Amino acid sequence: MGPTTLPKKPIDNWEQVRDEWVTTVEQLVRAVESWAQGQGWAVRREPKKIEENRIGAYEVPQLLFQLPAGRFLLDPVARFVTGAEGLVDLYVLPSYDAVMIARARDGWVLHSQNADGARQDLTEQTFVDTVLQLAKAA
Amino acid sequence: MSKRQDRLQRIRAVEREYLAATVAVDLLEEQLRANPAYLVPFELRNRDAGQLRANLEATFLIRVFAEFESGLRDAWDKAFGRTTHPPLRDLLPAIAALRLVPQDWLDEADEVRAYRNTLVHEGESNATIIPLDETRRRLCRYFSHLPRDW
Repeated sequence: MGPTTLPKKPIDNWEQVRDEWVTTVEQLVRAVESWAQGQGWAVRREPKKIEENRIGAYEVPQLLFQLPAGRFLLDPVARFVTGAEGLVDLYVLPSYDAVMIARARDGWVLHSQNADGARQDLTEQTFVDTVLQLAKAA
Repeated sequence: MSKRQDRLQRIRAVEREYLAATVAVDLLEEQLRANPAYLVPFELRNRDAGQLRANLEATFLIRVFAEFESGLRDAWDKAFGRTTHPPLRDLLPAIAALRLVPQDWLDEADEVRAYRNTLVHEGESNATIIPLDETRRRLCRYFSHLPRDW
């Protein structure tokens, strides 16, 4: 992937880190897309351009999906995050209630929006449960 | 309204006060052009009006930052149950780690902190000048990652 913008504060192997992050996000979006389709929810991908000071500009997919109770957006945020190795938000629209999906060393973890910061591993079951819970707040 | 939303609105409200204040200063300057002695009955000089214009944005930036800091400390205490009172340079990364704030957002909020310090402690460092609208954008973006309620 050729960068359109060079990083402002590049890390040593920024191109490698950027490409690895893009691949990881694409894998996550593919998995979530499959889980959502399995529930019969209509899904649509949209490209999102992100720029980070350490790895420059890149493009990743966002995923929109629709439930009767509301629209959802799986929204990649950043590779460089304090306390994680990448972050994707899951929003319900129009309330914008959200959970954070953080990349840990051994996989993706759901972080509650609440102050308790409850965490659980991201699986098809936890994803569906979380979406249904967020849908109540839509 | 959620606690987070309330705090974000307070920050935005200070920015709107600034915009209202710029209109007021424009009117004052117009008045002074028409009547250079306009401030005399108030025992003020035209130089005071000039200083008001020169310091207006910095004054409101300090207020915007105070709202931001107050919101952070409220969350630190009530949302995260902490009893400590760390300096802001430590509080920003500590909350960022608890709430998975992107590194760039943390860096940019910290640049505002450094700039605010140069305004408050005159000549302390040569931090980058950050306009008020950019200040509000950076601080609200950081704050948007705090819990919805506490």
